[in-house]
Amino acid sequence: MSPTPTTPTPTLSPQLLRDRWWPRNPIGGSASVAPWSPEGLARLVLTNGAGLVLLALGWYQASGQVTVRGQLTWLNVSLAGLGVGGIANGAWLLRGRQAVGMARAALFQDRSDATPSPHPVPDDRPVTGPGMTRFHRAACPLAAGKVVSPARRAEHERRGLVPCEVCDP
Amino acid sequence: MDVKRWVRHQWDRAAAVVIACGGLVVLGVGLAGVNRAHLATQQIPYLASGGLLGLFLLGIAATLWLSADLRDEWRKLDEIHRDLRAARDEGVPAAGDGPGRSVGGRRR
Repeated sequence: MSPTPTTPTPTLSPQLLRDRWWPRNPIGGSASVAPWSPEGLARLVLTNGAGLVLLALGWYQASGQVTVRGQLTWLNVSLAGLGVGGIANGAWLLRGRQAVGMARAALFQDRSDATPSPHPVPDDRPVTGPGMTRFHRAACPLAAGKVVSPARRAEHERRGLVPCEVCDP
Repeated sequence: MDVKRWVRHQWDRAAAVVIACGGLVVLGVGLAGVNRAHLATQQIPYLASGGLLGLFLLGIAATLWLSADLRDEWRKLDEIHRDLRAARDEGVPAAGDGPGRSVGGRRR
């Protein structure tokens, strides 16, 4: 029976994130090279435009007022426009930073999946060997130098073996 | 340094520089207007136009520049991921080839 080709496990990758964050790429293919979606870009432009309109409105109206009190009211409108733009820009940058952070984490996860660990996981199952009536920890001196094989504790007990009194596995 | 090439490849940073310069100019114009005016009612419109608009433009410039940094980082991560995927795909055996080699000695 011929083995079927293994399909890579879908991991959270920059590509996947990009597909998710850029679901309707108007250019297509690999042209999406940013961690933001077109909707996010449109939102940023619109919000900054609204902020700019508020700035201009405040300026225009403040110029037509003859009292400081009236001007300060419209100056507040301009300040609100500045705040709207600042919030939109900050949200844009935070979203991009979040996407890049997620992509970086996904990349490290992907890399650790593809690279064998330099420190193999120690096998802490108890060991025993032919002719032995006890099972031991792998580091037990009574098992040292003997040909042993690890197995689960329940398996040893099912075969009638008892735990070593020295290493108490 | 080839400026035209830099502008073509780094359009967002170039735009950020231009907008930041514009913001500084607007700030300067507002400052000059405030200095020339003697009454508060004459100064406030300069504050609303020159001061706040200059700050607004500087904010957009900073956003553009930081966006360019994030985009660069995104591209680099994407390149690394593609390399990793390509290296991993080399290890996937073709149908009928039997057990194959996989990158890192681990079957996916």
